Order: sequence, then C-alpha cells, then structure tokens
Amino acid sequence: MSEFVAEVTDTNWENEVLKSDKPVLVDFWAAWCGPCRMLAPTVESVAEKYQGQAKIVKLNVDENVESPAKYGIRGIPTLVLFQNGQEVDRHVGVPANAKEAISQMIERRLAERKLA
Amino acid sequence: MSTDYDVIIIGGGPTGLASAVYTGRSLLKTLVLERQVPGGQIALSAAIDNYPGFADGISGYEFAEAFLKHARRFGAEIRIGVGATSIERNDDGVFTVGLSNNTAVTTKAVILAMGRHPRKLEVPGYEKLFGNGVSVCATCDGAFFRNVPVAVVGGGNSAVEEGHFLTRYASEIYSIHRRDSFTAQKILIEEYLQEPKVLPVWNSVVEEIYGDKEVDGIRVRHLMTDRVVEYPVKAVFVFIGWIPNSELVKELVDLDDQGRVIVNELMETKVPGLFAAGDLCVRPIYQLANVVADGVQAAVSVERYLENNKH
Repeated sequence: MSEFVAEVTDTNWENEVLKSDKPVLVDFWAAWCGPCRMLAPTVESVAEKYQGQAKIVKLNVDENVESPAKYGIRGIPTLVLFQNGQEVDRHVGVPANAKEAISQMIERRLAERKLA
Repeated sequence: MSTDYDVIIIGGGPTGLASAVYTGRSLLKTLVLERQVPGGQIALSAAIDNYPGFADGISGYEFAEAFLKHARRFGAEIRIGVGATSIERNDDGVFTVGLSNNTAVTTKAVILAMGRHPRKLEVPGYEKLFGNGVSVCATCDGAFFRNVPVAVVGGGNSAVEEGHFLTRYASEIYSIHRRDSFTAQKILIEEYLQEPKVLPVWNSVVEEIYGDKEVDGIRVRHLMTDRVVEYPVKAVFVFIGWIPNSELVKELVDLDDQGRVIVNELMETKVPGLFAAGDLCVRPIYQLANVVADGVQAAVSVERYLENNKH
C-alpha cells in the first residue's frame, strides 16, 4: 500500500473524487500493465510533494469497471484531473519528464484556484 | 577538479541500467536519469522468451525491475521521471547536464542511452484517437478490447509478438502489413499465423483511422490494386518501427540519416568523455542481449577514460 496515494473504487468514487474540495488526480492502472506499475513511484513522489494541496489516488481498472467506462478510459496508464467534480485535464500514457509533467498538471489547477 | 558525479547515464532502460551496474562496481559516482519508466521499451513487453538464461520467459516488467534492483545494488542514484533537457561540454571536459526540474548537474563522463520511441502512423485519426483505441502497447491496452475485432499494423518482431498477445482478448486480429510476408523471427511468425483469430492483410497500408470519440474502424488500401477496404475494428495497435531519441545531442555528435548516434566498437562518440549505447545508436542488431552488452562496453569505456584523464 502506498503512503501518499490512496486506492479509490467505483463505490467510493463520488465521495473521494467528485466531492473533494481539492483537485484530485486519478491514476487509472492495472497489474498487467508494466508501464503503469513503473509509473507508480513517480506518482507517489508527486503525491508527497503536493500533500495537503491536491489529492492523488489510483483506480484499478481490473477491479472497477464503472468509472473507466464512464470516463472513456481505453488505454492505460491514463491520468485524469478532477476539480469540483469535473474533469479538467487528462493525459494518456506516461508523459516524458514525468515528474515535472504531472506536477505541472497540478500546478495549473492550483494557480487557477489562487486567482479565484 | 570536482564534479557532482563521475558519470551520468541518460536513459534508464536495459542499456543504461546495465551501464550503471558496471560503473557502480567501478566505484564511480553514478547518476541515471529516466524521464518516463525504468526498463524503457522493454517494460511494455508481455513476455521475453529470447533473452538467454530465462528458459521459462520473463515479463518485461519483471525484467525491468530486475535490472533496476541490480543497478541500485551497486550504488547508482536513479532519478525516475526526470529527464535531461540539455548537455554542454566545457573546454576542461566537464559536462553540464540540464534537468527537467530546472536544475543542472556536472559530470566528467556521460553515457547516452536514451533509446528510441515508437514511430507514429502518419494518417488521419492516429493522434486524435490515441489512447481511445489507438495504441502502441498491447500489454497496457489489450484488455480493453475483449471480444471485439482489432487491427495490428506492422510486420516485424513487435507486430507479430504483440499481435499474438492480443489473441487472448480480441475476437479477430486484422494484421495489416505493407509487404507480403513478415520479417519477424520464424518461430514467432509460425505461432502467430497458426492462430485462427489472426487474419493477415498483405501488401496493404492504413490510410485512415476513423471514429468520433473512439476508434470505429480503419480504411486500408491494397498497394497493388489501390482498392480501399474498411475494417470495423475497435482498436489499432501500431508497431511500425522506431525513432531514435537523439534530439538532445544532434548538435554534439554525428548522427546517421535515420537520426541514430554513430559510435565505434568501444561505444565512443566523436566527443571525448561522451559515450552512447543501445537502441539510440547505429547497431547491426537491436535485441535485448545486444543493447545490454553495449551498456556494459560503454561503462568499461567510461572507466578507462576516467583513468586516463585523471586531474
């Protein structure tokens, strides 16, 4: 179990993702996807970096079929960023310079919130 | 003269990680930069059956994990998710490597092991539907396409191997290739063509991938008759070759017309202290066992170079 990245499921999706007051980054993954597993440490370190500012969670697409279908996930890894219950950003695959790229996804949302 | 590291290895695939085992064992202070996932392209592979020593085969993920563990064992610092964005060499032979987190590090030697990335299919729909049915990773995405027809484009080892992997999920596999036979290893071709789900489409190229939010099908042109046929596939897996990741060094080293770094037997480039190995380079063959060997040679060359250039 990872320290900074919680598992979400179809069951607690609404509470954990849609009703969160912070931006939520969801990492859609599966055990049979090598790159997904290899991306995990990077996602973990970004989660640690943004502790308290943003929430980073992961959803296993093998064990949960509703959410992937609802959000049109047809390739993994896919990272989807939610704010106030809405999808605001998405990246399919492992981004180059992954740590920076994923951090930027969150930074953009945090910057917006500061302006609001 | 003091630098942050003795050697920086750019790329954490099998090549770079093999180098790191050796530079670590030579007690050189080693940094490995991996901007995406350790293991590189091999991490995408479902099963490796031809790396000598693994008679029962091993998954790409496990293989990558094993290499990572080994590199760490001898002290290499491995930064994952961090890439090199620039390299400069000063007259004293010190390299400054700019990183994607906007910092920079110095070193006395560099091993370029950036590898290559999959070539895109330059047809309408590829970019638009990437991740929505268009994929270059069967192990990542195959499971989303159970009991539906899919297409595999390509004719080499990757296409045939990954196409075979997809038979556990898809209902049919239209295997589109521009030639009239595959160029993969014979045993792979045999296993692939024996599968009833596999329907080869020879001498043909994909003209378009269509669909609104997801792939609905492809248009395929037969090269000899010019006839265009539609296949109602829900996914297109593309394995049509590789592009070397040599952007970073195109001004520094010599590249061939395909963008591959030119090296000699010792993995030296034309720049002293700058070595290159693996898929990034011009090599007679691109197999795991070979690029691992390249990584080892590059590391040994670094050690020799540093010995000969002690300040």
